[in-house]
Amino acid sequence: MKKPRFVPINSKVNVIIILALVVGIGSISFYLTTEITTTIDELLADNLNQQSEILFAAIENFMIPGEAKLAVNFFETMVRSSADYSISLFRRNGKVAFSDETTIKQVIENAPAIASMFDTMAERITTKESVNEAYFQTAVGAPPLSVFFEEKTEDGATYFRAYKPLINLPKCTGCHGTDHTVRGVIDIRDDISGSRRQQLIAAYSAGGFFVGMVFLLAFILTGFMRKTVIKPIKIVGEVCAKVTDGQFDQRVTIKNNDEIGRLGNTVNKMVEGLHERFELSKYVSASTIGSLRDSKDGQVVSITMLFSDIRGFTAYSERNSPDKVVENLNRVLNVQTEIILANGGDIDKYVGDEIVAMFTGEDQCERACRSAIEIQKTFRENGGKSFDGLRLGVGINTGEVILGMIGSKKRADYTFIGDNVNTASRLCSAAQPGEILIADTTYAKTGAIFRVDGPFRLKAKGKDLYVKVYKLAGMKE
Amino acid sequence: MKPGAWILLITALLFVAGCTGKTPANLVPADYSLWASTVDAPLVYEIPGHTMDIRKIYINETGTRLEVRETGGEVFHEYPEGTIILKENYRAQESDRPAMLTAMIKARKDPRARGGWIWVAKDTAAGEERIFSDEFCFTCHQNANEQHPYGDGNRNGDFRDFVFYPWNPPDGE
Ligand code: HEC
Repeated sequence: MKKPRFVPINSKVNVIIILALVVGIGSISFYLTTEITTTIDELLADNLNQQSEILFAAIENFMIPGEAKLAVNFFETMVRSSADYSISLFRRNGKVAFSDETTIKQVIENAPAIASMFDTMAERITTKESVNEAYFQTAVGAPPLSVFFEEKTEDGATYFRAYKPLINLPKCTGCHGTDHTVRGVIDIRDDISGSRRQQLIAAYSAGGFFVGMVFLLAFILTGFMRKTVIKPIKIVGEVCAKVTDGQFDQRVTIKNNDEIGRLGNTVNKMVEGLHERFELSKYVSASTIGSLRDSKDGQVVSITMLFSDIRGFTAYSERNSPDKVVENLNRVLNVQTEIILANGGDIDKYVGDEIVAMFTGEDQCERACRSAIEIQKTFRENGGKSFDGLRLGVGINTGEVILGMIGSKKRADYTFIGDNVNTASRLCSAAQPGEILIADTTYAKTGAIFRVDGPFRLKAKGKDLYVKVYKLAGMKE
Repeated sequence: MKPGAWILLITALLFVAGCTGKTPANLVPADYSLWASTVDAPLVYEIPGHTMDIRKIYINETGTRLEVRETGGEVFHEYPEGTIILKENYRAQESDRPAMLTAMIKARKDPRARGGWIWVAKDTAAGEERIFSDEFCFTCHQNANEQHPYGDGNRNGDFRDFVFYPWNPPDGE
């Protein structure tokens, strides 16, 4: 399986924050902008529609038989007065109303009685508006319908435009005849280019503001994240890395009083615990740790045991101050431990002034004996003065023992038991100060290398049994 | 996709289709020919708006309970809720069947109503009804409430409730 690429939290957090901001602020700004622009458009459209309705009602009511002049005047005033809107009136054929005499002629023909009114009316209004053909046809169609549309002219202006059909009402038919339904179309136009421009500016500024906001917030948030999460985690990581390298003096220093602060404290406690355990492990035999790791059940193995203790230690401790006793005892144990470890042995335990060590594997007997010789040699140096005159007795035995985790659930040691253990202990206590006693099983494997005296017979403790032992004198030349 | 999802999708599509499709109005009743008429004979003069050659007008029973009040010298006509006045519009060349039905239905509170009436036109060939909520029918029929050139001409400018040919009970009633 391929190892997934390392992606720093920083990048992930950045991506998530920016995404969240873009989606969040983006959708809101988009929604608001579109909502506002459509609302503005709707308002403009409503306004226009209202205007056209008012105009429609006014024109309709001014069209009293024989009073067309009134309507024309009104219309002219409207056209001139309104700056925002352009208003025009079209005949149903799309021609600008009042622009020529066609209608007047028709009216005079239909109602000769009112002909005298129109002598001054010809060609008074000359708007140059043109109609939007498709929409205009809807307005004059059957049925005639009001239309509202948006129009863009060639010069880039945008208009809202409304066509409203003027119906040939029964009251109109007297003058205008009955052969048509629609008299004309009111055209009212509103230039919304300005408003559109503003909407565009508003949309762009909202967009700009949005982008700025995203960057600012992203900056603030990532800064915050870096300070509160990422940096502390980095510190924790660094401490953990150093602890892994064995630097137990490292501590996490995070001042945050939050989950990460707590994590720091926990890590610190953990490091302390690790440190303690590490220190402890110095005193726990390597095989204990090893077996703890793979937790084997009890088994019978052949090992070489080395027991060593101080002769006359009880009397010594009574003679001397506790400080001195502890100091010297530690020195004694320390120097032996070092020698044993250097020879590939394991310290099984310290029992008071006694050391119990074991040697396993190849040439275990030789290494045990060598350790014993070195230990005794160290204690003989300086005329035995280095260790305040303290002397050791050492016993070595080789044989089968039961190895296993022995003890209660709360506290257990990986150690060995069996008759051969007792024999080794017995050999140790039987050894005179400065002496090393080895069992014949050990001798059998080392006789070629070491000089020995013996054999002697030694009564095993609590048994009517004698074992064959040798006194180890030194290396053969 | 699971069958359940398919069913859901199809129902949803049908629902949407049903919503966007034309709402069949069905406001114009089929049995109107049994109703009373507001005109003695078919109308044949030319009028704008309906653009047909021959017209016959019917009124349902509710409409015949027209209320005529007089307040301050002004006469007000008021047709009861549910009144239907229906006009058959024939083309001269095919007088066996009306090409279009136009109807006014009294429904004061209906949002589609103008002046208290729902204005509806039915294309008999296509069977399609169309409601006019804008000015078209309404503005023209406003003229019925003032003097106009049709029927009795409403010489006094009574408020005729937008009806050009008001219901007059036959003699002897
Ligand atoms: C241009 C004017 C005009 C328009 C527009 C118009 N009508 Fe009429 N309508 C009349 C006239 C005039 C009459 C009188 C009967 C006749 O001459 O046919 C009438 C009669 C009627 C009648 C019979 C009741 C009455 O008033 O006597 C109905 C129903 C009717 N119209 C419905 C409609 C509907 C629905 C519309 C819209 C689709 C409509 N009209 C549009 C002019 C108009």
